[in-house]
Amino acid sequence: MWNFLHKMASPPHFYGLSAKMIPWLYAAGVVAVIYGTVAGLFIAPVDEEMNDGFRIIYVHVPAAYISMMAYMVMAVAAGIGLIWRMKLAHAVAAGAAPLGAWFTFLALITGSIWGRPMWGTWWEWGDPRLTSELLLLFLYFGYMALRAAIDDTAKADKASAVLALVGAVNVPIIHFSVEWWTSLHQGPTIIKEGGPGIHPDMLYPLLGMILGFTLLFGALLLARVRTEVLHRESRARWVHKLLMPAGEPG
Amino acid sequence: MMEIFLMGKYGAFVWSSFGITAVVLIICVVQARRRHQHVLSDLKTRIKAMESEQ
Repeated sequence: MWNFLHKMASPPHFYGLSAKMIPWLYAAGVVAVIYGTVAGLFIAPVDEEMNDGFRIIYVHVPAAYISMMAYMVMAVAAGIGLIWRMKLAHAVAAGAAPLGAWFTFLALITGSIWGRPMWGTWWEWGDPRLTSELLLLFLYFGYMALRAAIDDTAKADKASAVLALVGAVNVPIIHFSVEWWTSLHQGPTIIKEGGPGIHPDMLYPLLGMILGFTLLFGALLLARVRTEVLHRESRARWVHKLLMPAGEPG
Repeated sequence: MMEIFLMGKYGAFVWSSFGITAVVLIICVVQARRRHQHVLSDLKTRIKAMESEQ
């Protein structure tokens, strides 16, 4: 295991191995998302209260879950990069940020579309769940802006890592906001005392969607980290060998 | 049959949510690919320039 991790941390190894993993992750992710979509839209029974409106759960919850998971990946990777000065970890953090921002945007927009027919409003200022998720989007933007503003990669890595770690406080706040304060937002559906609160025919498509989004996020993250590694290692010999194989006229 | 697709008064909300999700996921994939191609071609030009200097 340690041997594997050690190898993965070497940039040329990571670059080659990730290229093989990405298509499989994409394929598995697409299969899970297709299952979740078809079963969620057409097989899952209608909800007693929300009727067909509840089906938005199949995109909203996975997007919100990834929006927070991506932040944890970013913060943990940034921390590892700071403590052990591991360049690949900083590359992971930098790759996770724009993806996290997209999934946060998706969680906010699908939540807004869901809120309109259920709560009668697209947005409620001051609602703890909505506000903390919006703050998450700004944290991603801040992280990316900070990186973009600093030319020196090593300095950008350090400064942005500190921001990522400080902002990590927001993730548990998002998660527990519906329990700590009164919110329009409903409480947890899957992870709560007494097991999931929904019918298996409703639950399995949701789990399929969450799995599918996680696999797609994994593929996208690997793809972004590969690009980041290539960019950072632009002076390394393995990159030159890779791009300009011997014999090819320069 | 059409009722399954219309989903009562919620059809527009449900379909737009799924539609936006599909668009965002596709943007994520395209963006990642474009950036990789960009960095690749950038590096190739730089390496070529370096080699011709030698």
